[in-house]
Amino acid sequence: MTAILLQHLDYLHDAEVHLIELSISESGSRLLRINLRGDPECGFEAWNNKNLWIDFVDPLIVHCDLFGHMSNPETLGSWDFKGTARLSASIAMMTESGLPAPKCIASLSLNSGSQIEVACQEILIREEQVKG
Amino acid sequence: MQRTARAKPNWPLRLYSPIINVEITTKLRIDGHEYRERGNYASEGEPTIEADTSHNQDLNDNPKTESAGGYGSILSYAGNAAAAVGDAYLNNSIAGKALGALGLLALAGETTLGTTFGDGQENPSSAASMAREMGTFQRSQEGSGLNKAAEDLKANTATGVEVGLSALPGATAFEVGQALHGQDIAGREATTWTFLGVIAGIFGFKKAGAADEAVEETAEAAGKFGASRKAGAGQTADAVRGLGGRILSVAEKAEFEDFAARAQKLGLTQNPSRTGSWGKIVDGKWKEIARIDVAEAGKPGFRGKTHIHILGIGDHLPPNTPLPGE
Repeated sequence: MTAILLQHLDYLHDAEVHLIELSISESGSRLLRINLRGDPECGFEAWNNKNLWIDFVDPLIVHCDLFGHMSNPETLGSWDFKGTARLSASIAMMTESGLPAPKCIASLSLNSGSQIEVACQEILIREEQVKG
Repeated sequence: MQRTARAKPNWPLRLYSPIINVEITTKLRIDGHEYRERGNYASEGEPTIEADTSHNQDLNDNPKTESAGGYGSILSYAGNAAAAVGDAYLNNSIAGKALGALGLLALAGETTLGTTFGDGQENPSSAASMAREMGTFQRSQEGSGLNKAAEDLKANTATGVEVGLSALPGATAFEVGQALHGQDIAGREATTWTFLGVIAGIFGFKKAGAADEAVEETAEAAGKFGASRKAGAGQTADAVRGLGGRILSVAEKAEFEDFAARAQKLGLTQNPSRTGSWGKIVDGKWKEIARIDVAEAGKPGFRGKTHIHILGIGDHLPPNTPLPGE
């Protein structure tokens, strides 16, 4: 089960993206949250047509190029655990000031061309059945 | 568009994903059971691209570059001649020594020129190395790397002119020295040496000019090469929009291009932010009609299998599926 854990994320290809938000609580904690629905034939049965919440906890940096020019639904193209040189430079800039280094780097490419890359402390993936 | 209430899910999946070159522990928690996996999921970093070195070889073999080196060598001979003449007077008088020193200066200058042009011959390879290194991190800068090489060559040209000009003073030094010490040398011999000195100076000057021109042309060629590499980089890297900056293999690029040809026949335009997505503007919004997702080697599911989508979403269709209008 664990051996394929990270590979599971490849099965999010073509998942419909419904929400991208940066949540800021009253206490000041941040959360980058993405809601998507697994493609009905994504290849990983547990996520087929499942509603998924992905929380990027305590993000240090989020780089986004989000395009809103399309009329089609948005879908996820790929998810990778790597960042661009630009993200690395930003992380270096932040950590040199004494801030703790992030534990996670992830980059998401959406099929509209939108790109999200995030450096954070933790990633949570939660699943629930699509209602109705 | 949001389809679900934000009820707290009861099936958490907890991930610790890797950061570059850091060993991490991946934990999966399902229904109270925690699974762990330790491993190094070092980032692959930016994809690398092999620079096309055939052009570099062309530059190395560029006859202009070789000519520049040859001219540099010839110029060194000219400097040698001028220096030798000046040296002949070293022991004759203070003025002779000074003039001889000028000749030695010319020799040093010409030797420098030869070395400079020698470097010029090597610069294209250095530029290639530079381009490769830069290409590793920022492929679109390959052209800039070679343009930098061109600038270096132009700087060498300026040096060549300066050094070449020093050949003339070297020869002139001999001429003056000859005049000063002519009384110690037979008239015929003095005339001969003076003549040779002047010829050496003029020869050096002319060759410096020729070398200058040759290096200019080499620099121009390098500049054009750099520009073409920049354009080439644009076709393989810059032209890929979205897709996480993915670098395409030749085969993958061909798949995108084949699909593009079909889409263009239907009058579709490419999504300005995503390669492989084709559609048109409807009511002020860009509507995707067809999209190809080219397989990524080694990836599971449909990420690892080339397929197309019609009207933005839906079934994963074989690439040969007719597009609307085909």
